[in-house]
Amino acid sequence: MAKQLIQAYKQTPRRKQLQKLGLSVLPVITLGTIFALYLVFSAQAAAAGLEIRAYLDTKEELQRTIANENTQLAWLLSNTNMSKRAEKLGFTQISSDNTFYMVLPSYPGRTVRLTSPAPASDSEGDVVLNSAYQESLGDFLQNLLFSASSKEVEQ
Amino acid sequence: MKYKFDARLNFVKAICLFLAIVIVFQLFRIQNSNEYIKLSEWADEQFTYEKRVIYPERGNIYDRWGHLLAGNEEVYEVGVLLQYVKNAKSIAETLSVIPDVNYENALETASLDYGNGKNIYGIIADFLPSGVIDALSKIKDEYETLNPEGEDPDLPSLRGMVWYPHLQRSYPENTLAANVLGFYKFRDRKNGEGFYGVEEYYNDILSGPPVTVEIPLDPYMIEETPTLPSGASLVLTIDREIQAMVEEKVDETVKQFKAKSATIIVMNPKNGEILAMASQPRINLNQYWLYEDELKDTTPFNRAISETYEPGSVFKILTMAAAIDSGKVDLDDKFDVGQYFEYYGSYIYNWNRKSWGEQDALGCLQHSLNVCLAKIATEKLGADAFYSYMQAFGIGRRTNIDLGGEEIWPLSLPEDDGWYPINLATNSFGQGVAVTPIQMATAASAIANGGKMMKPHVVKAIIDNGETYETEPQVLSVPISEKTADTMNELLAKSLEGGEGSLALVDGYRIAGKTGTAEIPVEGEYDANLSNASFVGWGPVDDPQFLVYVWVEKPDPEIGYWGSYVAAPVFHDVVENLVVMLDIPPDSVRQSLYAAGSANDSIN
Repeated sequence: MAKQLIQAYKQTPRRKQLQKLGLSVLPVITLGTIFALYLVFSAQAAAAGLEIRAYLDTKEELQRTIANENTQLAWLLSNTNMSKRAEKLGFTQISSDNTFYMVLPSYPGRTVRLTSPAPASDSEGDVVLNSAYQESLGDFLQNLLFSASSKEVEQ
Repeated sequence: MKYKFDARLNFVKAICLFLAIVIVFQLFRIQNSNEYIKLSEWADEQFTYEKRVIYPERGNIYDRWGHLLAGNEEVYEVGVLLQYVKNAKSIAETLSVIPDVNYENALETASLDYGNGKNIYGIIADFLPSGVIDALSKIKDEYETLNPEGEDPDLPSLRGMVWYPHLQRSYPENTLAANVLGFYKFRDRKNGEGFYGVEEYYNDILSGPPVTVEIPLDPYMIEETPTLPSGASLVLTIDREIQAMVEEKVDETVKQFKAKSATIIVMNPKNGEILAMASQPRINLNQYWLYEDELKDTTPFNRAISETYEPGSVFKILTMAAAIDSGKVDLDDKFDVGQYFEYYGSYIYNWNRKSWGEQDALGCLQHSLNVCLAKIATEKLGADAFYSYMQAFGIGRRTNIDLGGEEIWPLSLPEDDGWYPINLATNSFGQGVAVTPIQMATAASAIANGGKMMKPHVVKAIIDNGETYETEPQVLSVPISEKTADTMNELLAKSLEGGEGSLALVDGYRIAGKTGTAEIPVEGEYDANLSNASFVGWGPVDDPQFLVYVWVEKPDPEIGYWGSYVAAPVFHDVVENLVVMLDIPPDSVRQSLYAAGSANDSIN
């Protein structure tokens, strides 16, 4: 009796129809999922690209700021300002009569300090995003197919 | 029932498939149509890349210790994005408060018709400091609160007004070393270039040319922004403190003697490094566009390299060096120095128009006797040898110092049309021949440096893209032997100790040097009231570490006329400070340190 009931359930027309409908819609759902994933990744890659653009702009701004700060510092430490400051603090120019000379064997002497502009980056014009993030799904499939076929030819 | 369902399902499938095929077909057709290709190309051109002009940062200029003499500071350009302007009048009114901004011009720019993108942006003011931008920003915010989005045309609004930062050349020391630095025409952002000094001479390496780059707008195509290398930076041989001291002395001297100008050069004769070079007038490099107010008519930007003049008696050291080096004159030779010397119908007189009796080489230099030197040049050396030596000393030739604007006066030679035999006699004591201060200092440096004349230069090192390239000293020529140079050193030190230039002496340091007083020709005749007073000297004599050349142009004759009175004391004052700044101990101390084997014998 139970077997008969199971057999009858399996052969229910509604059940069969649902199965057929499901099988028909499955490719559509699969394609939809692929496109959805593609859209999500594309959007993320675009957002990353824009973020990188913003960082590059910030870098440019920082370089300008560094140049400006160095110059502002030089204004503050200019000969005129430093002379006035030294005078205000009570320092006077030493004369050779008042100079005592002695030998300091390990003293390297006055050293030069420079803050010249930083060297340019070696990665000028390099593409920042990986090429995988720059191709469309079509490009990807095309590359995949062509690279597979070219490998076969090589073999 | 089953059949009906399958038929319907297949029908729906067929319709979907058909629609899919139609869509794919349409996609294929559209993507291969001419219209699509044209549209695609246009879109690529318009929206794929943004063209941007990048101006590489101009290289910095430092003194020998790393003090910044020329750098770059951030300033702002203020303009209007016409599409967003709501109230052109209030923009013009606000910006017209800024000096150099004209209300009418600002209003005209802000009122330009956007014309669907024909006019997008207009510049109203440029080179504004950040303080002004802060104030503008505050006003803009206040107006925005008062009149949100500028909707009420009767209320002020600064909508559409924008500002963009950029770098501008800046000289933190204002006038210091202005004659050496030159200036960069930063107000011309597209075609700016260096004028005079190192800014002109090294213009090509200080600034890379502006480059137009294409920056991808497609976020997937994002690329590293081309960070163009900044221009190379220069480290000068100039010492900021010495330069300031020397400039102060130049100004004092001009004031004291009511002179037309004064020029002082401090160099290291061993390697040709210029430690300081000052003259008048000097301009504030941050306001270079006003330079015509200071440098009127034909006034040179840097007299030390651009103004030729008759040097007078300082030139005698070259004549005497040539005579000794050629073996035509010995130190023991005696010369009958009468009141005058007649040569080809012309008369040469001593400075005091008196007879000095019998004199040797020392006496001739010590008392600066024209008759003696004229006799040496005409009777001992001869024209060929004399001019050959003068050319070897670089007279009539450029020193090729690395500064823009070097001038020379050609040396008149016996084969030239304008040369007369009397020229040989007058040239021997520095009249009828013209030099620049740098030529004279360089020629004298041969005597101070064992006969080797080093090429004068102001750049010590070039820093390019993080790498430092030191400038190698170059020998310009070797006009005299080391032996002659040593003899001349001793001769000039002795002549100074008891001679005309004794006001140049500095306690504790043995100095060699020579005064010079030259009359100035005015409309073909020498004017007895006008003089070029000069002094060249170096020390310490046993190990010369500095050479100082002083030239005072046209001092007031009622205050001072002679080089011994006008220029020699200036030399003294400069050297007195210089030895402290260069850490050169007095001779006795230095020699005791040498004896202990510990002295530092070079200028750091």
